[in-house]
Amino acid sequence: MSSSALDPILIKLPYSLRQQVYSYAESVRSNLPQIFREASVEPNPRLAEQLLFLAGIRKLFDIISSSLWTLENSNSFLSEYKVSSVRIGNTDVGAKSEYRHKLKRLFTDLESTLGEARLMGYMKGSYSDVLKRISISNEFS
Amino acid sequence: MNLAEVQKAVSRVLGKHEGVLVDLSAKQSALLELAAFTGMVEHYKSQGSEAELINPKGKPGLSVKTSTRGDPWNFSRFHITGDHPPVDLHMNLKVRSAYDAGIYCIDLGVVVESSIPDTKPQGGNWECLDNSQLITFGEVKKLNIYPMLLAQFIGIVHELTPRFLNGISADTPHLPPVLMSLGHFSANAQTIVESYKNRKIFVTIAENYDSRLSYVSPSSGGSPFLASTW
Repeated sequence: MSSSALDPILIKLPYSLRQQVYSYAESVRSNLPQIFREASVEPNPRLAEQLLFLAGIRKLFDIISSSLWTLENSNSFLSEYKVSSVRIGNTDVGAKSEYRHKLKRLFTDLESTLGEARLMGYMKGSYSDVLKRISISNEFS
Repeated sequence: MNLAEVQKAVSRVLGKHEGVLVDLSAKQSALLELAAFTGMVEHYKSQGSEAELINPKGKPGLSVKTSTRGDPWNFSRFHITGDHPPVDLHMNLKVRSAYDAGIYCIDLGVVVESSIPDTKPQGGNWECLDNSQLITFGEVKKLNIYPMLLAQFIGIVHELTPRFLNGISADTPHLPPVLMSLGHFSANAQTIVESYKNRKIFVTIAENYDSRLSYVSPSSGGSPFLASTW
């Protein structure tokens, strides 16, 4: 994939997370002709690159948010049972654990950064809608 | 928005949290399995059952079994009672095939009460659960649901609980075998799932599992697996 826009970011990720993001961006890339058709936008390499960048960022955000969210849900449910800890191997991932606290901080920092970059609006919705918006707004430079 | 600035800002966040990301990559599947474990209990409670958490002796808190390694009595499980014979819920459980001596490890097992020892049996090793004691089960994937994944899951159902492929559904409140996925349907996977009922295949496919969990928060109740809730 021509993922040049994502490379500087994804090099910071562990291999398995990096591969998940690349694989997802590849799946979006393979659907580009349909996305352009549905958006009624003339195929354009610059727009395609921007869309793939946003897809990669969205997948990264989803991985982190869903991990935090599933953990929060589990811990919320388990609070009824008054467990002192929730151990995966030697790591406590319970509600008051350092692990949960750090994961929450990662999520908050990423959400805040994407918010400041005005990208949070692109984290949901169909890719044809996203493509329409970026083709009209010319927000990227 | 300047692309280079976005790249720099996001890279900075990822660099700052490098340790968490390394840990997350190692624990991603286990977190999902934990969510599947608690989600299944939420299902039973939504059906009026009671669930008791049983932690292994001598270990503080809840201990999550994340692989085939280790014996089930050294990890946490739930004991579930209600308007049905009591059952136990285990994680990463080894089960005998319905047909032969093969042994499979399932992510979640709903089993006949006390069919798995509470402690290491004296004078022998515990190899796996006998197939006759398996009521239903769950498998967890952090993938989109695509046709081959469905075919593989049906294969597991065939090996372990073939009755669900022969027109026999589960008795309420037990679910038919469940496939839980973080992803959505891709290709024509949803069409395949929609055909199962007419084919007398009884399984539960729970796509977008994290969204389902968010919908049935502990305060609102409900099951993450039932259409009436989701």
